[in-house]
Amino acid sequence: MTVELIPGANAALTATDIVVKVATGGAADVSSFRLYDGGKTRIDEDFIFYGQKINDDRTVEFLQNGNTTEFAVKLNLLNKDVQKIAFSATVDSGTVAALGFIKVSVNAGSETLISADVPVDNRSEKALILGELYLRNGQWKYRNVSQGFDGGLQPLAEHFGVEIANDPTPTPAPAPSPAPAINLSKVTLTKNSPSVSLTKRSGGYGLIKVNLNWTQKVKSGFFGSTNIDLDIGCFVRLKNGQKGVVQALGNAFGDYEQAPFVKLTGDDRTGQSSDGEWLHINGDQWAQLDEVLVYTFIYEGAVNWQEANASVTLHAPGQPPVETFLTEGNKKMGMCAIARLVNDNGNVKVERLNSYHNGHSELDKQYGWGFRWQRGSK
Amino acid sequence: MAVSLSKGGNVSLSKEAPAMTECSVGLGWDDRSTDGAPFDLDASVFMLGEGDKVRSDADFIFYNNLKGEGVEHTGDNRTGEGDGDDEVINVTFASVPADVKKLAFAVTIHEAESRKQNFGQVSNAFIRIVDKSNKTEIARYDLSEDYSTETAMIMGELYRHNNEWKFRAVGQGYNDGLGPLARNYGVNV
Repeated sequence: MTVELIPGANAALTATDIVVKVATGGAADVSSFRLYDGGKTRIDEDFIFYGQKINDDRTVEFLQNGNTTEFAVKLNLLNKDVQKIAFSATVDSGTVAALGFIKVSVNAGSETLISADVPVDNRSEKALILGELYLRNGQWKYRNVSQGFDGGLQPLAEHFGVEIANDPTPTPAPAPSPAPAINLSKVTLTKNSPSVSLTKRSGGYGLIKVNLNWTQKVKSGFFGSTNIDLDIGCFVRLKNGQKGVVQALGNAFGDYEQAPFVKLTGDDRTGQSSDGEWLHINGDQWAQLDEVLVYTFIYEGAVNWQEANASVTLHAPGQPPVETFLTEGNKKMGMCAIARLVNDNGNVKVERLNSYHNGHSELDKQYGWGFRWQRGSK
Repeated sequence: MAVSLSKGGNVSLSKEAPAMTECSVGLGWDDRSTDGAPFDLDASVFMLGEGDKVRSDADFIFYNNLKGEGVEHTGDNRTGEGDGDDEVINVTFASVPADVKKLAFAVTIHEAESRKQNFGQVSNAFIRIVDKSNKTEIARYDLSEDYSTETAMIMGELYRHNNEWKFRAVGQGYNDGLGPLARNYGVNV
């Protein structure tokens, strides 16, 4: 009996001498990677392809016939450290969509145990991980993976540890429009949808909270670990022309009930606090506010936005949170203007800025606030 | 000793953690290393009164409504970046109002349908319940393995029984996402 696996699905194998067969609708390079702890290769012989048809202990063997590639795998003879064997397909030009189909099966003798076809329609990848044989609780299983890389063989190889891998920047999802009743959507400000207007409730906007959250990635890399202290702050301008700064640096924590109607609730020095730092903006006094420009800066530690893994989320009562990620930062500049809340005829308009600067005075100059700056510490 | 559950598995809280007063529900997964839309898993809780329905929409604790009486969602993780639990919901039993009979814990994939995702495509996805006092794991579901073709599941329920709280592992998978799940419990979505 053949088990059919959709992408994501897995099944246990009932045999140890198996043949994984990959048939494509056009020319593709089909390869296999023998993987150890952490899903990485160790030596050149772990990579089996048309240029290296059998590995050192003869446990994986490559056989090609036109657009069909077979891998004979002896699971019970594999080194005990082997955790996975992954199978991939790459194309030289265009994307895998041009192949038309990728059919994958796992066979034992004349019997097809598993059929795990990979959908290719409208795909943007040049390289795909088709599936993987993997060991779980002492049992070999096969999973239909069907995921890959737009960049082709290089990111695929890096994924399996052939070169030093860099974490890709997470791609924020496109912002769905808000809906009535309970809102299941999340709004992400991106380059393509840089602003959103908050819906006014009767009586005012209530408490508008802006949260900065960051995590220290635990990394035992070549460069050691660094500690980063990230601060949130804002410039506030009232309708009467008064302006000020709210931030931990200089102990300017602001005030919620009185001008500037913005308060910083605390200072998280390490990123370990579970909910980070909050700015509270008194939305019921919005009529008195003209603009709030929210920024974050690296108070201590190396400038590395990728490592800080920071996000800023704006919460207003009854509205979906508005989020923006700070992982694409400029490596040299320690300050980021995140967003501004502008009083647009009494409405709160949130605009994404996402610009990076060398410090407060440069940021000030860019957005024309006209403060006078001197160095300070906490 | 944690009980690793697979589909339809069951665990009795009175046996596993008879003295538990606070628990955490932890959801974890690995961030996506391949190209494509991120995997965004969400944990949520339904605080249920009579007839297995929420008393009001405020009883649906999720990424847009983080706090209820006795229940706190510590925040939305959009990518699974980081080790361990990526989303945590804490429950303090004594603070849960008396007319809440049951707490149902759910895990869903955000926009699973449009992103064409299921639990099996996410690496190392799990949901677990932990006794907060001693960090003992009481039950765990391995979503990537055992719920691989699903996009939503009811993990389990904490319910009142003769003046004590009990946990029932439900492990019921669904394919329709958070919306229908919430509607099922009487939330006005």
